[in-house]
Amino acid sequence: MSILSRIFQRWPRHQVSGYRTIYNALVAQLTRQGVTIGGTAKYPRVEIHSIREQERLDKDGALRQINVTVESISNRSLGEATTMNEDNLRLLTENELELTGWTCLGILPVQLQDMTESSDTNKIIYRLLQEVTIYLEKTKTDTQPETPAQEQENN
Amino acid sequence: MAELGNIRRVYIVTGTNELTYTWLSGEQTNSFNRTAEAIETSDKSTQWAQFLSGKKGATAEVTVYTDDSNAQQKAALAGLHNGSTVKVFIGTLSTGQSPAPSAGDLFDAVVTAISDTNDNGAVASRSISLTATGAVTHTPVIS
Repeated sequence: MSILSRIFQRWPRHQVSGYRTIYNALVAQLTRQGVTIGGTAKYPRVEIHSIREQERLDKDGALRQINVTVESISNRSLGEATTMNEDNLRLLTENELELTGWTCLGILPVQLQDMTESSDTNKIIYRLLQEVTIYLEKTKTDTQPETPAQEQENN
Repeated sequence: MAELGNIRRVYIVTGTNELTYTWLSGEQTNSFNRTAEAIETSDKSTQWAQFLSGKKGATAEVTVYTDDSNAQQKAALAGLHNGSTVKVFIGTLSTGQSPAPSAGDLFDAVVTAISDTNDNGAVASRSISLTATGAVTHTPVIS
């Protein structure tokens, strides 16, 4: 196994948001017909606006808290943006987020911000920024508990 | 040298001849409090109170994220429900094949309280209170 492969294989232990793990899982969860997900300038569109991984919750880093802002963008109406946002929340909370090596304990809506703006062409873009908090726990295995030496190496 | 609190952890100790130290997983914080009674010996001849050091004792508090499937948390719950003692080590372990205390305190304890906190928008947590029964063994040895 190459050095790079070994680094990437170990990466999720240090930072869940690294290596696009969280981003890919969120995109997979939010994908549906009629809405573009990601960077292309199409409407209506949903974007993962930001991912902020917080301080580890326990001493071993087995519990993580990640704040994600999901943006719903419409060029037609605030109502469309609101419906997209509600669909996003439903999709995120209805099914379990799938992340290799991690179990999702829950996703909680935190804050909703209306960032509706006029573009240079005086066209109104309706933007809603929904912040959610995702709680993750390292998936437990049936193997023996780690020795302190392994813990130190992994952390 | 100063240390981060992250590496000084609470371990539940099992075994008799060969001790096994298992970390109380999900640990957020711990505190360990040593006490010694002050027995007053002063009389009217002195203006300032005088004391002898009396009985020593210790208490510990540890907060963990609630996990009812975790064996160490189960041991703590059993200790409270059954009134049995648990052997506890708080500190750091050596990093060999057979980990042993490198710095910290080893003691038997009775479990005096377990408080669960289930807040909206937070991971459920559990606070465990321990009172040492018998001597506390400190590492490195105190001369």
